[in-house]
Amino acid sequence: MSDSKKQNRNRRRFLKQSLASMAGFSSASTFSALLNTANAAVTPTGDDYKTLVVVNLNGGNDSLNMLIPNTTDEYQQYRSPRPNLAFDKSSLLPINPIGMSTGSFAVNPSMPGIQSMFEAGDLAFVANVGGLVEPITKAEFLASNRTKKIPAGLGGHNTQAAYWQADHSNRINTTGDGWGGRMANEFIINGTLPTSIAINNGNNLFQRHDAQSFYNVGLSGLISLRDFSGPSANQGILARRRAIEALNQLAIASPDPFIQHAGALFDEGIDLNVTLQAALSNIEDLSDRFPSAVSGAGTSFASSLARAAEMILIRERLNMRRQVIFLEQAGFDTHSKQGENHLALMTDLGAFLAAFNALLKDKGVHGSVLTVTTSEFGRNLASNGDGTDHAWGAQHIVMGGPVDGQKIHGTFPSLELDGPDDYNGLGRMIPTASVSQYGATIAKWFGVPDNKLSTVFPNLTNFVGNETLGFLG
Amino acid sequence: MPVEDASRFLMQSTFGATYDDIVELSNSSYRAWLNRQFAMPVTKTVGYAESQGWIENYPLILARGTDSSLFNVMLTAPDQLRQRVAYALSQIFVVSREVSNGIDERPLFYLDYYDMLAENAFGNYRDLLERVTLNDVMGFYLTMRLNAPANTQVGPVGHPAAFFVTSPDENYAREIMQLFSIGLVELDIDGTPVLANGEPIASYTQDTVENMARVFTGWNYQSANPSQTNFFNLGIPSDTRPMISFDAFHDKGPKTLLNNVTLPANQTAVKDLEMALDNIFNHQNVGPFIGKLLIQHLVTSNPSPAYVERVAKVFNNNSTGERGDLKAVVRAILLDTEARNGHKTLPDQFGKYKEPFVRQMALWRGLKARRKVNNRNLLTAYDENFLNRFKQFPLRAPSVFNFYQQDFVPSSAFRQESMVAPVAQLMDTESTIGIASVYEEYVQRHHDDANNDFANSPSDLLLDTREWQALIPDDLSSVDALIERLNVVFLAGAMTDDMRDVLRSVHASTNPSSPYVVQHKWEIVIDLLNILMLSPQYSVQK
Repeated sequence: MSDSKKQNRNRRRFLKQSLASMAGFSSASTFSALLNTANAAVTPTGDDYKTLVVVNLNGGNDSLNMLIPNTTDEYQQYRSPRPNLAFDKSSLLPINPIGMSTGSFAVNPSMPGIQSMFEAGDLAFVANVGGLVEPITKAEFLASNRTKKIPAGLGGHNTQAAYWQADHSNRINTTGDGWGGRMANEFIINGTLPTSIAINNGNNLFQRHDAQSFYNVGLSGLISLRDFSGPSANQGILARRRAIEALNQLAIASPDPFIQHAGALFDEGIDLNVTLQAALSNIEDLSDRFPSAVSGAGTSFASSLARAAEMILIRERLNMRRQVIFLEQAGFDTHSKQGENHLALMTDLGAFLAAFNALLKDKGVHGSVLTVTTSEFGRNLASNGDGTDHAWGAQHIVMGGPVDGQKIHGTFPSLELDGPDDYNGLGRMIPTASVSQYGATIAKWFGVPDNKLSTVFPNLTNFVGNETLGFLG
Repeated sequence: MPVEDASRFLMQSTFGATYDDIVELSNSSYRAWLNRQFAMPVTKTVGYAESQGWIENYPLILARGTDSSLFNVMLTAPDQLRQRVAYALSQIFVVSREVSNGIDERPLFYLDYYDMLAENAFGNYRDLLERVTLNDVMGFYLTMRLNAPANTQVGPVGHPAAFFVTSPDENYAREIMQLFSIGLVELDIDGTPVLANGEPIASYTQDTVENMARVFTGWNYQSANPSQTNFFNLGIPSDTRPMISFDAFHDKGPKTLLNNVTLPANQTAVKDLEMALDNIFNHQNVGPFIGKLLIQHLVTSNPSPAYVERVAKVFNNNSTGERGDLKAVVRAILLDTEARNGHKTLPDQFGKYKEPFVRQMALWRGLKARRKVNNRNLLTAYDENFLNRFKQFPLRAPSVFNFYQQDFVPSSAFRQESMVAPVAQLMDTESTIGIASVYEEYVQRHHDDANNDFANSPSDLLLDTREWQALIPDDLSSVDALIERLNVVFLAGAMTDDMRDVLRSVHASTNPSSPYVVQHKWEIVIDLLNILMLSPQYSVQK
């Protein structure tokens, strides 16, 4: 067992003991906060609350059917390689991006909520974002003796999801830490929950960091152990609880990393459960703020957003001045039956984001919550008959008070097959904005100092002068 | 062999053992046990569903009939080794019912897929790969079915807006290489990446994917009644026959595959498919890739390269010149010196997390779980609701990437030792409590009592504590024999003295300073079982 891990655990045990006599739910985990103190740079105070909500579109979103060019020539370039998947021009919902000609773009016909949020300035798109180690042109990409680095495993779900969430190197690496975790680690948060909160997504790479624990919230609320749900006078419960805790302490001290890790999770899970039970005790049920789902996994997605909203609503009670929340909408790997399935996904995405946005406004936290999408890759423009395949760059949604809204930030790719952005004739777009830049823009808003951005995004040094994309003003 | 060693072997090769099973193996030999298992007939989930009258009445069965059939066979089938290997194969050649399209209502569709894996678990990998490829559920899941070449006109007959395929579907082409056979990077025989200038070498490119995608064109379900001119007859998957080919909808161009093997132009869909599967099968990665995956599913998350190499060599040649003999591979995995002695020779590296689903199965099997009433639906809605907390149930992975990734590293402690713990991806601060709550619920509420009465249990599947109660003297003054039995059956002898002390300290009858007084043996059995099941130590198979 590593010394640092032992130290972490020891520090935490010490903390638990020293807080044991204090009142309220602060006797639970302040683990991440303490660990922060060694190298953190920023201690938010007062009413400086910020929450980032990452909505990962799992499977690779076909963003070319989400944000659609609406001018005559560009629309034809969109339609002709995917005649069966393209929407009729008359059905599109036009938008009027600031700085572009009126109605030059449109959104998916099933996304009226996205259209109205865009027009109201609550939402923007960021164009052609993807995993990049460094900027690369089509000629550089296709060069037989390519010298520019690209993410390894291009086109693979897990490899590119890892690249989006970790942004660490050109090697295949689905381990290590993620930029959500690294970002959280730049803050000292004296709250009672980890800064990183996953919704139904424990062990995502995005939030992983050695010095930052993260808590996973299940979709159906908290699950309690019968023998660990509060004070009891039952000798059986007390005896079992003592024994289970004793075995757990033996596990935490075990030289076996498997046993040790399982013990640490159990210990921390019990503590966080107690904290959250107290904090959530009189929070209203937000589930009915979301419309009924039409896509397969839509109900889970709606529940995830409801759980995320709950976590935001208790942030002040728990002194959580920074929160990084990660959740997913599943089902985007639309190789087949894209027509009906992707339409349903877009319907739910649009409706639920609109409901979430309205809810945050209603609760007065809209100005301090940023919601952004991620997805392992975009899909290619060409139809395979019934769907689309794995590609690279894609358009993304950024939403909330902090957003410089009603704009399409970055450069929308040319949709010409084998054109300047398409690398092999089937409409796989080489990104013109990197995950590093997308993330750094977010991190800067979150409060990460400029001189720490390259700590969070090591590849940012390859984008000097263009570190951020400006979509947050 | 000692009962502890026999228990370890059965943890690796079954869904759990009773003490009787352990003693029986202990008095026999691993080889003899393996040979008995290899010779057993396949217990089929379809057969179970038929025996319950679920096939002819399938509209009434819906999803639970599928779950219940899978569950019942895994829990009770005598051919446990085959079922355990089939379960591992179902996590490599993944199809999942977690898709939203209505076909979930046809239980045969998925049960047949699982039975196909079980039937081929001790066959040849090349045959298995072909059956997987042409199985209608896989054709549906990874969308190879109805895959058509570029420029094919698509649409039902008479479709007003004719349109054309721009390029074939790459889904199956990509995943058969990444997940079912060779993986992302070139491997040495011991499973470690081949390096060039310090960097791994990609085992295929986007170009390979596109060529493979053209191979897998021209296939549809038999039951869809397609024809050479009406390929796109959708139909429904309702039988268990493999997909069939339609050469009019097969890409006839030449194709360049792995290791620069080329397929000539104008071959039939069948010929192209056979040659492409041969091309994949003969890639040097398959032995170490598949061998290591099976080792990780059954024995240990971090096999030494030498262990992987020994197994890969058996994959490459079973000693009679056959490549891909899975029976030989399974035997090599389980009889390997590392599988048998790794707990002593590599104490901090050897072992794995038990999968949450398997952990629960081991509890039920270890305590001879039986039914309260003769309810044909062994798995009730109540049980299913609880099992959902595992985030793991057969054929219900969230995607083709399974429930967890094989390279998952849960903490810095693992990373510093270059170790992985795939199953740990199911374990977080919330799911750990959720999983524990299931064990607590089943142990505390789903057992017999002093009268062997199950009346108050909400579940149909109940633990039988009688032979465990018999290990406690009538005056309740010692739990040592009970503790030792728990140690053998559930920890393969890994219990430390500290753990024994904790278990002895619970009840007043064995610890005068404990205020917890009980009257019955069954209470003691249930309490100690409860405590052990929730322990981190039980979550690990060493």
